[in-house]
Amino acid sequence: MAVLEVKHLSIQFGGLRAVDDFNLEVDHNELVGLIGPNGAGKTTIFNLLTGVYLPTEGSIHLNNVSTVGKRPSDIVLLGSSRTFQNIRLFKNMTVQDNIKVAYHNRMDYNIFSSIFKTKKYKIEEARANEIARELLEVFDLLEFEQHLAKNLPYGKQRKLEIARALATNPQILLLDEPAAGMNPQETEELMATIKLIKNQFNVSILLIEHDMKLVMGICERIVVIDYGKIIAKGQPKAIRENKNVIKAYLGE
Amino acid sequence: MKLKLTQLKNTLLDPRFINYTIIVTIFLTMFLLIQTNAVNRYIYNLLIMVLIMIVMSTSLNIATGFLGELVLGHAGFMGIGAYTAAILGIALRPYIATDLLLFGASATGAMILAGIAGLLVGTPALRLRGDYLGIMTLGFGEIVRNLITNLSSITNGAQGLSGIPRIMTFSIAFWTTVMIVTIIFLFMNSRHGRAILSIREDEIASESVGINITRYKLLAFVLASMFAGIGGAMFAFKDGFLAPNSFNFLKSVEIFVIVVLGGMGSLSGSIISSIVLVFLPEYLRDFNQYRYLLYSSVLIIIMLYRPQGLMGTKEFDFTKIKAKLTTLVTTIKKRLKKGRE
Amino acid sequence: MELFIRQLINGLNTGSIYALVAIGYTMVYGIIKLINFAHGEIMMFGAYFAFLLAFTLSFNLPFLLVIVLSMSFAAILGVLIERVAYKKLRQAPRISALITAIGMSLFLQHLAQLIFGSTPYVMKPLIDTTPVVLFNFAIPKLTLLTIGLSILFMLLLSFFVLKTKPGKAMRAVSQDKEAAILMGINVDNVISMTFAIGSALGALGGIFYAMTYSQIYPTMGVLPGLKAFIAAVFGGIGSIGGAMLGGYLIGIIETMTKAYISSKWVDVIVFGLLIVILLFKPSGILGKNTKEKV
Ligand SMILES: Nc1ncnc2c1ncn2[C@@H]1O[C@H](COP(=O)(O)OP(=O)(O)OP(=O)(O)O)[C@@H](O)[C@H]1O
Ligand SMILES: [Mg+2]
Repeated sequence: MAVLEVKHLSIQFGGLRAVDDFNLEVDHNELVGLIGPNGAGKTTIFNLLTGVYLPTEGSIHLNNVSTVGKRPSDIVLLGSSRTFQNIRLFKNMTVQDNIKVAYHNRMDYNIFSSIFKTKKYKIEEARANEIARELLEVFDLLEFEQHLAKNLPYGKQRKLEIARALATNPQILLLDEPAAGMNPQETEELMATIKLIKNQFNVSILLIEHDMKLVMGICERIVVIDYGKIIAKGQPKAIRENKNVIKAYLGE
Repeated sequence: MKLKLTQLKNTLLDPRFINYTIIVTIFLTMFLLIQTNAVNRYIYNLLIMVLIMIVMSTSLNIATGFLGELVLGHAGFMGIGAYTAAILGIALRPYIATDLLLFGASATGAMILAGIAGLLVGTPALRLRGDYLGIMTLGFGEIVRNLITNLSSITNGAQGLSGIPRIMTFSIAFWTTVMIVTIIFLFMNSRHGRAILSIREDEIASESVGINITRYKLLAFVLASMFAGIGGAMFAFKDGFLAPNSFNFLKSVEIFVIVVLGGMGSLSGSIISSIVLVFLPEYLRDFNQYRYLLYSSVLIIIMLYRPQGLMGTKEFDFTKIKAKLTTLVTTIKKRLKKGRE
Repeated sequence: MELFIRQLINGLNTGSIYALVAIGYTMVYGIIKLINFAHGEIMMFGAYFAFLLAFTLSFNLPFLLVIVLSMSFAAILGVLIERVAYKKLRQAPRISALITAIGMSLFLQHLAQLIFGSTPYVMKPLIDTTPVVLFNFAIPKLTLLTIGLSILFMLLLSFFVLKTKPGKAMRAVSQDKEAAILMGINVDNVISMTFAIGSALGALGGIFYAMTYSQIYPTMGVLPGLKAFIAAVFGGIGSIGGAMLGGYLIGIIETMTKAYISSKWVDVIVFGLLIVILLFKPSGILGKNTKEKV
């Protein structure tokens, strides 16, 4: 069964049709790549999927529930979570708190519990700390638990952002250029981490990336768009040899 | 026996225990000073004013420091609280003999009405961002002041409202303040507080991890206005007299400046700068004409050279002082040792 | 009807003043995205300058010279404020810059208090006050002059911004600062120029305000400053035409409220209007909408 089902998705910005009749199904625990030249409309698709933009046409279903018109925070509750092309961390909060904010909806105590420090508050906070520790462990960030997010090196910030997205317990994870700005060795590491996440957390992943080595290396299926339209889809090997794709990337 | 001793030692070193002890010590010291008349009437009033400003600035800190929204009309909520409490206080005096109860009842009313005002202003205002929100709250503050002036059948207008029971003692003010600051502190250290902080840090990211930003913005705004209402109530019962001009734009700015100087997002910063900014101008009275000049220059200079304020977003922690002192002592010991060798 | 027209003329008088002051807010906001809270104080200093030039010198300066000199002094003051307090904060969070502006506003108020004292100076009109009869209406010369000179200066400004090279540089900076730098425009100079022009016009507004109400005192700029700011928001902040339009509208709404409702509700109505505009059209009448990109 498809976790994510997108049909005829389009958005118009004034005269520009940034996404045009986009269709996609992502199955449970599948890793799909979304690629295309600069300005093709990839990030815009993410913004549509997460409710930042309202589509002009088309439908989006997460686990058979329509997300169109819902606010981003409610779409998260339906099981999707994302990272951003230009990292958006809570810079002046600790690494631990970045995770705990994302864990917000999985905790259950009200304002009075926090003011009176009830047992429930203590149990829930302790559990959140535990989960945060486990997540940070996976991403090799545990030693930075009490550091401010802004003081982490770039590569670690990227990792923290992924960890934060996972803390919402998503069924599908949307990663927008996770390898951007990383050196080859960091990218290598990231590939391993993404595979690990997929298995350990049992999630589907939709991945935007320009680094072809990464995309070809880990994606099971790839969708290529250019000028908002799908120009190819299929296995990595087929995509690599597809004429339309080569043309779009090299530009005639 | 040994077990009991370690238990005792643990309790004594528990950070919470240390903080409570220090608060109580401060209270007792002040209380003794007042009882023995070491503190004159004038200083006594200033002390209460400091406490009121602590309530006002820590509450504004929720909206401005933690949530990160520019609010330039905090005095408006204070005014609503003050007049509500005053009118309730006058009306209830014949029925409630105990000062503490009278204050409790009036302050609750003040809190509720200011909170409702916060909800009414916040619901539409929080759609706006940055400067625009600031200007809108400024407009709200001015409207409140004008309404208080114009609705003279209830508020006695520009002449001011007198005959309010003068029940604001140091003890009531002190414990009200401790209670409010503690509540804010505990609230900020919960999942709800973290949600508010995350909105300040990055609204879009916050939404992307499932925070309902509209709800939390409104919550922060309403809490800020509720506590401002209590601050207003304290003010109303202090002098027994209220005038609309006590709640003008300049008052909002004054509260705002305290928050900024203390550090946006630091409660202890707000407390320290409340003390400094209430007392400093009083001691500068000798060169009265220069004091506001100095005050505004300091504001500009701080913004130019230390925009994060006195404390940044950090909290001052008595328990950490001990740790710092210990490391200081050990380094000094080491140095001395080296010197001897 | 006669009352209405009379009020309309009064409204145009007040409106001219607001429009002049609003231009300064809108120009500065357009270029450095800062609400220059100290602008009301520039207005106040402009009035003091005019007073000093007109009444304390041993010789009599002609009216126009008093005005032009006061405007020039105010322009220098405006540029100075920007250089000393705002320049360093251009890259800082906007809230810091805004707080600095509030600080500057308080500083100038108390500086004025220190220099001139808090007792108001009585400002006599600098021209003779005999009314002129126009279409059967006796209109004070001062009113005519206020409206006339304001419009003249606004026309000059429009010509400057639209037709001259420095004016074009100014528009370029307000649209896209980075691009303007790449085009070789000296942004520092453009910002100084903006402050100079805005302050000069603000001072002119202050002089007329002082003559209309016959008083000068250190906090006189606060309320008209806020109202002029509302006018700028009303018209669409960042738009010079909008500031003028907003100024006249606020002026007229204010006098009409005074005449037909009650003078004590003026501020409630004007500030209420501000809130309504912010809620339903925060970009103002002539402003443009902007949205953040994710
Ligand atoms: N809010 C918006 N308003 C108007 N146009 C927009 C908006 N957001 C995106 N666009 C336009 O839509 C097109 C697609 O942008 P998008 O950011 O989705 O590209 P992308 O595929 O992610 O590119 P890159 O690889 O550079 O990140 C671009 O032309 C962009 O300018
Ligand atoms: Mg992109």
